Amino acid sequence: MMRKSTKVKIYIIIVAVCVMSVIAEVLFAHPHGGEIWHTVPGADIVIAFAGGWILILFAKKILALIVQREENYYDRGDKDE
Amino acid sequence: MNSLIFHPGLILIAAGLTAALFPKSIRGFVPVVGAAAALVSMVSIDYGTEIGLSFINGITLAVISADSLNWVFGLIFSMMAFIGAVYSVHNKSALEAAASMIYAGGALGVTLCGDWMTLIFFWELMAASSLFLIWAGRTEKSVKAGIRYLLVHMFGGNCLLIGIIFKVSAGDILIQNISQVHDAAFWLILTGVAVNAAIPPLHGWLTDAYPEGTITGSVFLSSFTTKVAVYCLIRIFAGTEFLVWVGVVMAVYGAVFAIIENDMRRLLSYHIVSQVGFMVAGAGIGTALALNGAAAHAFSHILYKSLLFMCAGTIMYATGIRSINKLGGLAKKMPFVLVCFTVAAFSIAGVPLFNGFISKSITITAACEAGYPLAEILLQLASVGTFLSIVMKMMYFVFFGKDKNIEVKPIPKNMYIAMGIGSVLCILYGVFPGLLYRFLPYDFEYHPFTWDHIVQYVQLLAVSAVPFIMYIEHMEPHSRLSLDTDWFYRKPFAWIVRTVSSLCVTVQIGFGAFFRGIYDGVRRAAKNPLVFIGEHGVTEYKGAGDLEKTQNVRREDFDDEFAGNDIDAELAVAIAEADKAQAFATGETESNDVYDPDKEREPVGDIMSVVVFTFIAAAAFIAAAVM
Repeated sequence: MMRKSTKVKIYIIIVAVCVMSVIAEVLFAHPHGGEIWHTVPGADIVIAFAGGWILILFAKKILALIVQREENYYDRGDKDE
Repeated sequence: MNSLIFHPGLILIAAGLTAALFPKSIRGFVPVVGAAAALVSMVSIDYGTEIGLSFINGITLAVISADSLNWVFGLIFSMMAFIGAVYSVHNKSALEAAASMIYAGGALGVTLCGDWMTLIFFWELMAASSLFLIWAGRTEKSVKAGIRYLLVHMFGGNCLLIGIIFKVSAGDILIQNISQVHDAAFWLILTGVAVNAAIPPLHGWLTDAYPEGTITGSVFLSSFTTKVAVYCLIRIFAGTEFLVWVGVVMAVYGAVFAIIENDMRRLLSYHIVSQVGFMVAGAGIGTALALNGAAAHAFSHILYKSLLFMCAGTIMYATGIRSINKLGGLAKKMPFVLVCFTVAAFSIAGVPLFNGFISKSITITAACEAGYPLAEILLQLASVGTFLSIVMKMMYFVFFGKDKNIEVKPIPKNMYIAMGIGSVLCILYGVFPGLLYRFLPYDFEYHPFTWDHIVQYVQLLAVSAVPFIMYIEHMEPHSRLSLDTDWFYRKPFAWIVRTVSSLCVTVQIGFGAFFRGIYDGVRRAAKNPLVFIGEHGVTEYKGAGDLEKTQNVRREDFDDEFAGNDIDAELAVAIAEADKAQAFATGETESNDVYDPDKEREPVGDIMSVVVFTFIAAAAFIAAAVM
């Protein structure tokens, strides 16, 4: 599994990218919409983090419990198909 | 090029049929030549080209009716047929060579035609030929998945056919936008197209069947059926508003299921559902920008999705493994595949300078401009999910995960070439979007490389990695199967069919005596109607006991009527002996007084028994359905 030092390095790179992108957004970007996430700099950072977190938690903690079965679920007795 | 023999689809079909006849040593090259010819032919078709074919009742089929919309789809289908053919050169299977080319030819046939009847012909040709790409897997799972695929597409095809019959019978021969009137034809045609577009809940066939196709077959499968349906949605249903939300649901649905998926090709299949969702939403929005976005995304999607399937297929070819959790550490062993996979993964995620970015961002911008802010947010959420499951999960665990000392066997060179072509095209269109934009069907102005778009995607994609790394211990997939909507026809519906079948058999057995009585009576009546009016005149024999009785009765009759006449008495004995010999010859004397209808059947009796049984079965089925 990924080492802690590697994780930290990736986090640092992502933070650096976010800072530079927000600066670029403030200086150069012209919003293409009027919603709050178009006008507030860095709003996409929040959307990405919250969205990714929600997707992972929903998929892994809720959806997986509901829909996941053993790999041979459909093969347990051919008559089921 | 105003002749049917230059129809790109027919060229592909001819190439497929020809390839099957060629010796194995050169069979793989025939589709390549055919696909190249089809591509040249497609490029040679001008907007406005019309080629008709006389049909019955004075109807002329518009086999080719080219405009800017179907031209761009025809171009990418031709390109994909060529890339797929190159990827399949090493494959010596005549069945797969023929099926893949006929399938691609059918897709071009649907795309280029201008009338409903030609559309349904090539539509069904696609369904029939693609089926063999699944069955060619020649495993128990692929055969069963193929049968389910066939049944679902028969349902969709029949809905489409009935809808088309409604349109044609109303005098609408030519394909046109029918989104204004929501009549029966609208819903039937939409259902038929929705099945092929894998719109939930009608998408179960895709994630069920595509992973079971052959390695080369799945590359073709991933490219045509759903994108032909997207073309039809743009052509026929553009501006149907509820499709916006249908597409958004698709986009998120596929992305969420992909996160928990373990099978590589099944994960990619879920991302077909997700990415087609962007296109469906674009068709639903219906503005010029959105429709161009849908067409452009279909174009890009075919390139990067086929590349992803090629990479997955190559890994399966080299390792024999399809589960992500059984792979790992392939970066050093398959560096070229890693590069190609990275290109495809960045493309599907929408990383700037890759072709997914130049098309996906159009649809999201169109949703924003058309006043669908929630749709815009949810489509962005789907982009985050795509990045999580393909760029992060699949790439990390397959190429950079723990090395499991997997043996990797050599890969045919043609596979490398095809993946190389796909990668180059993904980057080429990503860097030079004008190469694609100038062929898009509707007038629009869009600049993907603005600070706004670039910053947005950089932030979205870079930060998406954070939750993945935070939960990386939980992200490794497990050897589990995800149930989907195909569960409904693989479990409950199968149970219903079995129950009804058992009920029919039970009823048949329960009514056995009654049924036999009906059959016996009908059979007797058919043989000698006098039975029912009290006349005997019996000429049949039920067994040794009856035979003896009959002989005695007839002898007594003769004796009574011809008393004293020895000649007649002798004649009666002779008749009796002849009857006995006949009965012995037909085996009736061995029946031991048990009537066996199988030994002597009558047509009327057979038909009547079938009718009665059908009524009983239908009654049982209706009773089960009502209950």
